[in-house]
Amino acid sequence: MKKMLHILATTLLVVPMLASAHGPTRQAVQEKITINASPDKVWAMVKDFGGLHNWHPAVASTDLKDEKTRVLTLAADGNPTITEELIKSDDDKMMVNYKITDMSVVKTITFNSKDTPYYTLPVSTYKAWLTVKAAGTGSEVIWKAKFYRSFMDNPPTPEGQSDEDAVNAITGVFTSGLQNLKTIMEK
Amino acid sequence: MAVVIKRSKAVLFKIAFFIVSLTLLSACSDTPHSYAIITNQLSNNVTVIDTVSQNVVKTVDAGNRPAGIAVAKNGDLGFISNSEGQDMSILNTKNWQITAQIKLGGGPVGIATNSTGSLVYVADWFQHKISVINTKNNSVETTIAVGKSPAGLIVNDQKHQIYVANRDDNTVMIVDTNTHDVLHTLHVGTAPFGLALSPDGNTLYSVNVRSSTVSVIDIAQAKVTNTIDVGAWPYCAVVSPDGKSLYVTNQDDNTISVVNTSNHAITATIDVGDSPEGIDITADGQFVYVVNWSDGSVSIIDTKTNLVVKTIKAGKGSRSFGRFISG
Repeated sequence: MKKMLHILATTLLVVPMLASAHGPTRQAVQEKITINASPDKVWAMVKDFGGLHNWHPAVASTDLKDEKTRVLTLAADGNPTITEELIKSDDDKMMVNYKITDMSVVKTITFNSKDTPYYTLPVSTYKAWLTVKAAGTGSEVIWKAKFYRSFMDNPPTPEGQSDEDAVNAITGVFTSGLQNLKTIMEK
Repeated sequence: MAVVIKRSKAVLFKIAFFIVSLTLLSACSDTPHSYAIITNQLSNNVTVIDTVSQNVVKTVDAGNRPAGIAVAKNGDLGFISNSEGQDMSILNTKNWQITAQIKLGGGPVGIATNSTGSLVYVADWFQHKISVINTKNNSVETTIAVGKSPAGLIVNDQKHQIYVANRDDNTVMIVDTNTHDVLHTLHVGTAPFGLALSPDGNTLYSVNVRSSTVSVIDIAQAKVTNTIDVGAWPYCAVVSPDGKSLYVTNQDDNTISVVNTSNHAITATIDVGDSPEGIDITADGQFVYVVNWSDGSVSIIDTKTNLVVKTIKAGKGSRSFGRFISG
């Protein structure tokens, strides 16, 4: 018994150091902004699935492939793209829900002797929700996303591909977008 | 004199009997106390809700990132898995003291106990095993190797089995609690996470996150007999005490799917808070408690009307993965 306990104790100490394959954990980002414009007016802008370039400063163009699929081309070097699919658009709740289905590969590096791609955004299995709510005499816009980092193996993660990097990238996309939406709607 | 003594003894006995009867009576007439224990993963504590008053009665500091919870049906013990602390806390549900902290290592998340609380099973997310903890001496009795990234765990006392959902293998395992042998490995939907067991112990449900389905498992046959489409990115489920309804949390729809267990039809879809995860039902079947991760809140559903009757503030990152209502 003593021997068994000793083996057990040793195993408990050693095993955590051996990295075993497991998936990363799901991350979430939520950003809000209040806009001095009516919810109807803001919702009309936000619900237009083919019109993200009209208010998001990072998006150069939106190519609506069909009513549920858009390809965003970003205003950045190499014109990286993001393909998104509309999951649902709810006029009653003033909520649009969509997901990323594809992204262009910006570059590929070798990390831990494996080819490791860098996508337009360092995320995977990404879903987002954009909701407009009445707030006082104006509106509140809530932009929320749930996703995993793009790098699926255990840490260490390649530069720019940690959970924190993924959260920071999406936070940046949301805050810049919401800020510009506010500017346009309050003009 | 002797007679007097005898009489007074008889009187004393009568008084004693009366007192005992009174105590018994009051114990029976008292509404049995039942609590919902909410693990708040990001605030490192648990919120205790009295299910009779539906009010928060206590907040107790737990370990580092408490995620999973298992309450013993009979007895006064709650068990909490601390995912970052790599240990398990034992919570006395009479005085709300943490009475022990048992080191486990790895990534403890899924947790379940038998009805008396004498044995606790903890799934290790990273090390692909289940630790069996004997609470008589608070030691790890043995470990059972299972599939990749085991998540949901449930104990079937009647059948002397435990069930485990292996998220990254898309399987559910049936394990014998006496021999610790894996009896069956069943293929279910993609990324099974939470499990629910019918009160008769015959039917198991696995909630498959990535395929947005629930697999229905006949335990005697060790076979998946049905697959039910539910809402987006489901997490966990619970069966009503009468066995007639299954309630499933849909994380990405912010809803609960109510499933008729006899024909597997969705009979209602109930709006709850943001990112519903843990779910449990009171022993009388009257109220379903839903723990909303993003909101840090608990939605209480009246099962007669399928409406949310109360929303209670919990802590940050409230999860309660497991059976969290005592009594």
